[in-house]
Amino acid sequence: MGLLSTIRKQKLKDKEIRLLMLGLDNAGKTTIVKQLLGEDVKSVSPTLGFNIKTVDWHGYKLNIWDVGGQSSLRPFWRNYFEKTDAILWVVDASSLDRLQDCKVELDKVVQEDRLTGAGLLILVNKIDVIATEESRTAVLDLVNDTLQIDKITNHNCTVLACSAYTGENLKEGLSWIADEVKQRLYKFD
Amino acid sequence: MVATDRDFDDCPDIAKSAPTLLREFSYRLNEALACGCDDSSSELDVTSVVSQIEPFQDSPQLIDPILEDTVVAVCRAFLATRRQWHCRILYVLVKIRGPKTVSRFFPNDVALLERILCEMEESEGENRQWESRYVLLTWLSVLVLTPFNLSSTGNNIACRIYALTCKYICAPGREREAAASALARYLVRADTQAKYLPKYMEDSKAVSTSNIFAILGTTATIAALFSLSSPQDLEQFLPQISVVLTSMKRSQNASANAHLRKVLCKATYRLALCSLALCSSEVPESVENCLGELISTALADKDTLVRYSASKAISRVAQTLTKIDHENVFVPEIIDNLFASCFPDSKDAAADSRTADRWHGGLLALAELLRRHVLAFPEYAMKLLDLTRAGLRFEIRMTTHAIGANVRDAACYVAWSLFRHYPGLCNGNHATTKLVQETLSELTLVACFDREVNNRRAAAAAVQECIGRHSEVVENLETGIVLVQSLDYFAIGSRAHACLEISRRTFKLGVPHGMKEFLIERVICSWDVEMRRLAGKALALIVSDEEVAGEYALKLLDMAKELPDGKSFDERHGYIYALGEVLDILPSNDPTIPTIIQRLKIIFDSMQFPAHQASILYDAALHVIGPAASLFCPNGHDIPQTYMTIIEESLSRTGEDPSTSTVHSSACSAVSRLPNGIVDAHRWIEYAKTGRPGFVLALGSLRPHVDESVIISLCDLASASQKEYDISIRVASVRAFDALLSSDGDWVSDSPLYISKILVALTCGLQDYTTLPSRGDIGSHLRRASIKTITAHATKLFSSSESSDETIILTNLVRISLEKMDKLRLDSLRSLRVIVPLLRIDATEIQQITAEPECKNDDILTNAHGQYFNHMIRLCGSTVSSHSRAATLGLAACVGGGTGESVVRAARDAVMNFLAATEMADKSRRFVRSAVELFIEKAEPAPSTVNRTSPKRDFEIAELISLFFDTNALAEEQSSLYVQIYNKAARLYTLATKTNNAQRVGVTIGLFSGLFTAANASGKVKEAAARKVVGVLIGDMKQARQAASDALFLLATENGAEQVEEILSEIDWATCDNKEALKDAEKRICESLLRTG
Repeated sequence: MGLLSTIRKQKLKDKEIRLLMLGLDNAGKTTIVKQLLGEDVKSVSPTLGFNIKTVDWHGYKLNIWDVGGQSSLRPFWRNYFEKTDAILWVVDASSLDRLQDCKVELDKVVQEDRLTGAGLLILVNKIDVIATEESRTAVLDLVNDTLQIDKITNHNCTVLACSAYTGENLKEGLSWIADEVKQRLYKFD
Repeated sequence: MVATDRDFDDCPDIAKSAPTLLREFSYRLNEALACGCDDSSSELDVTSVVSQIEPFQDSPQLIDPILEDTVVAVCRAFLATRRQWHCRILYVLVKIRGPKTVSRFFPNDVALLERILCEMEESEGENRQWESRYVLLTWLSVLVLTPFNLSSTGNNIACRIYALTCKYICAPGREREAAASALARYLVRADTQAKYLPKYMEDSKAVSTSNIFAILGTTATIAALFSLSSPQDLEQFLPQISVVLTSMKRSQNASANAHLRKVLCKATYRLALCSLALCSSEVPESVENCLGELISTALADKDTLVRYSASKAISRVAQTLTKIDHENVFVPEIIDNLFASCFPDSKDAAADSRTADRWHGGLLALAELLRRHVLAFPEYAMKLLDLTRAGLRFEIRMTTHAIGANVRDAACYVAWSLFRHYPGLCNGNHATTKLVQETLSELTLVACFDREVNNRRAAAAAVQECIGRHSEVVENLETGIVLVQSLDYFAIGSRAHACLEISRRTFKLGVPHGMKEFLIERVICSWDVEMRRLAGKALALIVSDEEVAGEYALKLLDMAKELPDGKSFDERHGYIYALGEVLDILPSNDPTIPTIIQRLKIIFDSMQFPAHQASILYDAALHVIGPAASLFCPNGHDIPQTYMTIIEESLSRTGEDPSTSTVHSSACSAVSRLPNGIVDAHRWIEYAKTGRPGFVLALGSLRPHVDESVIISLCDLASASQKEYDISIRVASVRAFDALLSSDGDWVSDSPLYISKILVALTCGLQDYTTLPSRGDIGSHLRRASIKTITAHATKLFSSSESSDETIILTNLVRISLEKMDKLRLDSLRSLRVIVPLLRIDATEIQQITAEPECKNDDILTNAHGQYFNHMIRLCGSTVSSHSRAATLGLAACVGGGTGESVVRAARDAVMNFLAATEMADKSRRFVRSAVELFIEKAEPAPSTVNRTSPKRDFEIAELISLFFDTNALAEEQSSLYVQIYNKAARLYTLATKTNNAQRVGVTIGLFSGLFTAANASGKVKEAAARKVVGVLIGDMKQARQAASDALFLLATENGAEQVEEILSEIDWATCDNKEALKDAEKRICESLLRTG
């Protein structure tokens, strides 16, 4: 038994979850993290590097990897000590004209062998700018259709509307991720 | 260098294949359960069921979806039918997912307690495997938790459980662990504790003098007791336990058994935790002692397993201490103790493997303490960063290798934990930030240049945590992200890629400081010659980018010069080799060149090549001579005599070891860069002819200045016989052609004549079957080298070739593509694919057959002999008779190549399939005809005039012919043909008898028996054939007698000659020594046969 297997076992005991936060630029990824950490969300500039933040969530440690929208993603799939347990894909509800681009990028991630099995949460962010319940439903339908969510088979997947600005639905999102990972990795804990 | 993902991905993700594997596992298991297979049933293949689930060992959670249903189903089946294989399946599940998780699904009906107990008690007499006992005891460990009072169940259960588990905690197999767990759970039960716990404690006193298994089991039970019961329950026993553990630690067993030391570590720290839980405020002395011992002994244990355990133990105790150590005195003391013990300051002590163990243990403990937030004091940040950096450079040189790779691994882990658990590490503190930057720099160096892939990857992971959580350490965010992207997990999987490409990229980012110094001081001097070479190349790339090549060339020269004579050969090789790399990229107008020339001369003049280090030193020197010659002496003036001496000394070396061949190729590469006219080619030809392969090879590197005499000499050497020159000379000549043809010189197009000569020489190579009793088929080296050269230079070789040359090459390759040696078969097939499209002669059929997917699938080519021959045998039925004959000749070498080998079997099967396939009728007829013609020598195997000993070939073909008889492929030929076959068979028979070769006589018996059965064979032929076989019966070769009697028996049965059958059965032909009896029997058989006709 080498150091690596010891560390992997330990990680499971520590209930650590590695969450990769992805999406086109300006989708609001960093704002979501800031809101979750209770930081000021009014001033966020484009993420050039990447940031790792840890959020404690009902006994789990969510290590959120916030990767800038322009980055090449492969280096983030896994590293020596850990691999990705869940993916959070952020869609910008206020620029639906980029949904097609979004689909192209999402497809690359979804089809990546090394991410197979990781839970996939799609957050439709900035939903607060859409006024009526009716139009919100329409946006969600459009996202579902354009991204062809029903065709994703190698990930457990769900779509949620949210607002990083107001915090709406963010906790629900984290709960979904924690539950999904729990189902897979901590079924008997 | 283009690196793709796949090249580096050595870790395919099980997550992707999980659903399929699990489905297949459940399916196979349910099949087996449904058919109620018993353990010996032939339908049952437990291994195949288990093989579906074993890949999950490293990702056990993935089996969770099916775990409960599977365990329940198998347990039920076991209760119904008690098969061992049920236990085997359960054992594998426990092994993968752990006893705690799996055992919760074992049925726990109270009635089962006695049932499983009985199973175990009765297992004595039965032949149960330890796996079964392990599973049953694990099951028992669940059942003993039953909430009913055990005394109420009758049958003395309580006492029986105690006796049983006590017995098995002394077992040598793994069932001991399950028994320890069951016993511990039993001892803490409310209804048994009062009676049995004191009893057990009393019993365990004597164990330390007992055997190792009893000691292991008892220690495991004690460790388990601590985690199951409250400290209060155990309080009265603590002194007793302490005594028992101490005496075990002192026993001989402990020093010899790492596993025991590990379990003792566990029990000891749990004892300490228990004492801590019971103390009010003062930290008990026993805890201090325990920690002291863990740090000074267990953490520096020689075994990794124990160090892991000790690091965990220390951090657990320290973590608990932080809760009562309000004054914050005790924990800092532990940490200081740890620093002093594991990382002593004194540098004068000789570093040995104990030092590495201590460092490794110490770093592991630090990482554990970090993870548990025990080291959350800012005052340790500096010290931790210092230690991490020192750990990242840790290496202790031994004579031929170095130790300490595990220390660097642990240092990466410390860095990773530190960055991860302390988001405020830098906190605007300038000094700390600087240290973090330096650590990041060191980590980058490890990620690029460490010899071990796990260290490179661990360092890269730590870099990610550093950038991701402490972005302030890089000057701008862009740098951070590019660094992380460069140090990609997959990309750094390849050592060469990491060393050469990625290092260069990170260097341009400016993150690692002192990369050049690191290379020079560390990697260029590595104990591993491959690392030294890579480091030399890496340094050259960097200094070239920076345009400081001249400066570094001088630096390397100085360092080489300062090395003490007769020592430090690794360093000397490293510096000089790197110098070669740097000179290679040095601009020709660099102002340092005159100085370099001067200093080089000093170094070379005094350079010595002691025998045991000569090959690496020559390698280094030659590496410099090439670039030095072309850089300093463009006109051929002033080539120092030392250079030529070194080259010629290197080429004079002989021997078959890889180091000689490395030296030869370095020398050739130096030669190829020498200015025109420097080498006296005629002298080298003479040297070559004295049997020195190095010079032969080097003649090929004289390009582009070759003259006719060189080519002609090489051709002569290549086609010489073994008597004239050893095979190594011929192989070297063929490889010299390879080098010659690789050159861009225009001699090729000028001289079609040379090409033709070379082709002829290569053809000789393809036909070299030199075999020596002591060395085997040494000709195969030459055949292989020839194929390689032909393939590599097909375009040049066949640009203006004569069709007769083409035919010869083609038929030779076709033959070899069906012969017995795996590598040659594949090489020639690949060669055919390359050359056929270039030929002028028609080879459409060959082109079609070799272009099909079966011939491009490496897996089929290397592993599936059957598929290969089934496919390629079609060449034997080619419409071009020379192709058909060549292929048949090759295949015969397989079919007649002895018994039992998979290739022989595959070839024989392919022949039978081919003959039986009706859609191939035309082809198989041509195949049979080719074989027969070859056999009766109606046709020469020409134009592939193989120069091999013909008896061997004859007997190989004879086996093929006999196979034809067996499959009725020769049943209806003309009578005259059988006569010819008989005549040849008779000749072979005589030859085989003369040489006393029973196996070969056996082959001819096959032919004679075939002739009996051929409908159109004349009576005369049949009689003659029968006489030959009967004649064997009285010969001296017992093995052949048996074969003859078998053949006759078969013949007699088919013809209803019962009398013959009877006579044959009277005697044991393989052992009988009674000449008279043999003669008598033979006579009677002859008479009887003549009577029945």
